[in-house]
Amino acid sequence: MGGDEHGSGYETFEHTADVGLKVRGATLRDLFEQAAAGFINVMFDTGTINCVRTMSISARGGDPEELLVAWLEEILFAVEADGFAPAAVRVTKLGPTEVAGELTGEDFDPERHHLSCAVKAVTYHDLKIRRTNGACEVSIVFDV
Amino acid sequence: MFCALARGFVRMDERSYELNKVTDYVWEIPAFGSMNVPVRIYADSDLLVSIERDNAVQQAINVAFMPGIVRASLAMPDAHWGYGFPIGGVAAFDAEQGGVISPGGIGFDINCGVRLIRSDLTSQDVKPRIQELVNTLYREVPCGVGASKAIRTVSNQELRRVCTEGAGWAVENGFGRPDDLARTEAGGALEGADPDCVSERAMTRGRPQVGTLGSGNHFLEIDVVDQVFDRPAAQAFGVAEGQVAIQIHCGSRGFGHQICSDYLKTMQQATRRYGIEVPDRQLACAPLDSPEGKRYFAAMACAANYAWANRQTIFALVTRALENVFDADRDSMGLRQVYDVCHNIAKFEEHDVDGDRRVLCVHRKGATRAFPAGHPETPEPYRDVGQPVLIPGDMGTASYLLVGMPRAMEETWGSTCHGAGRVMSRKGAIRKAKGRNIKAELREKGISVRYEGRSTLAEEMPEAYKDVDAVVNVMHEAGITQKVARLRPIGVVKG
Repeated sequence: MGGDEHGSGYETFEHTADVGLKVRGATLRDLFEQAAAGFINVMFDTGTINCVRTMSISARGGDPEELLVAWLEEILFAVEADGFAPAAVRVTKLGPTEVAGELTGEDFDPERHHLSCAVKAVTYHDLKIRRTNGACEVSIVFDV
Repeated sequence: MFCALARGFVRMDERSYELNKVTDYVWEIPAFGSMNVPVRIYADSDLLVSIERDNAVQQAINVAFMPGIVRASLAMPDAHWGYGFPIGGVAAFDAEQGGVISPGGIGFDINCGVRLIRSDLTSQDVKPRIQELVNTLYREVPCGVGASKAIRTVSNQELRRVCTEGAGWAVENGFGRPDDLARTEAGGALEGADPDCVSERAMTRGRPQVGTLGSGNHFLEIDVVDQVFDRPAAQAFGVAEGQVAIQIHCGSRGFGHQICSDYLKTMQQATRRYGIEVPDRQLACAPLDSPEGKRYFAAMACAANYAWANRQTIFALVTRALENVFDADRDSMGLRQVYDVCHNIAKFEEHDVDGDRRVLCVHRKGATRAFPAGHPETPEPYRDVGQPVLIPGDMGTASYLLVGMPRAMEETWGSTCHGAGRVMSRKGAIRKAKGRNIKAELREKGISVRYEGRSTLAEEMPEAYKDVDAVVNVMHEAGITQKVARLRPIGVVKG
């Protein structure tokens, strides 16, 4: 579980074959940031990763759900293809069809870093961003 | 009007659909509302409970809405919910009837499948050295999270050849023999693959992962043939009681996952463009004869061929490990491939539809092809008997070798189940395993394991899966596939 003093946060939930994340954000931008933080923590024990360098990432999408999936897929690609182990993430820009941000971490080192979960993909399962009492909420399921 | 998703335990009075028993092993939900076809579920009454409980039935109903679907939306006895289509789902589409192709009907792990290798080694030969063998396999075949650079990172040029040549690429590069290809579904390479339809992103993920096992429910397993049910078929397949066999279970790794993700985006747009209404955006699709549909198939075939190249490469690495441990060569150990099948794929196949021969696009997601004796695609050495079907069980229990029967062609587009299917979440399994030493429990059953990752063993424990004996029994009693042999694990290597 993770979160901050604004009531934004995330928690994992059970799903028969895969892993789920319930995310809450005071704003849509918060939601994107918390979803990314939750995703990183699903994949890694971030306590084992040092904040040595940053990596810029960005994504595009036709609607908020598509944009959220594309954003998380950028993080997955950075991990799997670029060999980057992220410890933290922040959103630097969020528009209707694009998002940009920064990952902070270091190069993946199998000796020091514990990769808790190999995620195959980010899915659209039950993916719907809801606005309740002024906050944004979404559930995301990852195929592992 | 689409049905609301049903959740939780479903009592008869709570069902939003009619469910009729056709036989003890076949159930039907007649088409209602805008469903194009009925749903047919292969299950006994116990398995039906778990299928209904976890929403797989609703997903099978959703598939029945899709354009051009022929005859029925099918669910196998190991069905459980998936992304769009249920896992354990089979559906065939006719291009001439506006039929579609849908990435959700194949899955993220394109051509996740199983290869079975037989040997003349007996359990007496192997058991005294099982831990050494398991450790050697763990060292020779990279597995686990983030494993890469197993043999070498291939160039883009070579990866393009992997896409079109599949297992043949591996053989050409010294991994195994041409004879292995004849005993692989589709000869180890699906026609119609076009690497120009694969994104640079997928190529980047695919280049370093050739010859790697992956993690999760992927594994290498050393088995003993425990029981033979059909002696003539077992003899044709080359297996006998007491012999040691090896299973390789893995798929197309990040390459296939990325291709599926890429085309889910393409298909979201295509669904809108072609005015197709689907009850779940994960059923996004395109007409088979549309540019998007053709491009997806061509990319999917690349991923399928990558997985076959992967299993062929791993087969060669496994052979090398056995040769090292037993100080003997492949031929003196009688190592030979029985067969290699895929569980997540779409294929163009000719089938009989109400007396007409039609080419259909058969989607099998968590389902296995099961062709009978006499079929031209049943390998020549087995043509009198039928196609071998490989059903891996879970880590602590049996796997099965089955054979395809003529009734499979009549009822399920030549398809059967694929394995046990999960019933418990990973967290649930870890909770249940607390205080238990799963590794020791398996050792007590005579199974040595070597694995990567702290929680992976608990997540994959036997109770997390359905009873494979029951699943296989349903398809046997329904006459779709017949049991040939049961295999019992003595060693497991997991990612």
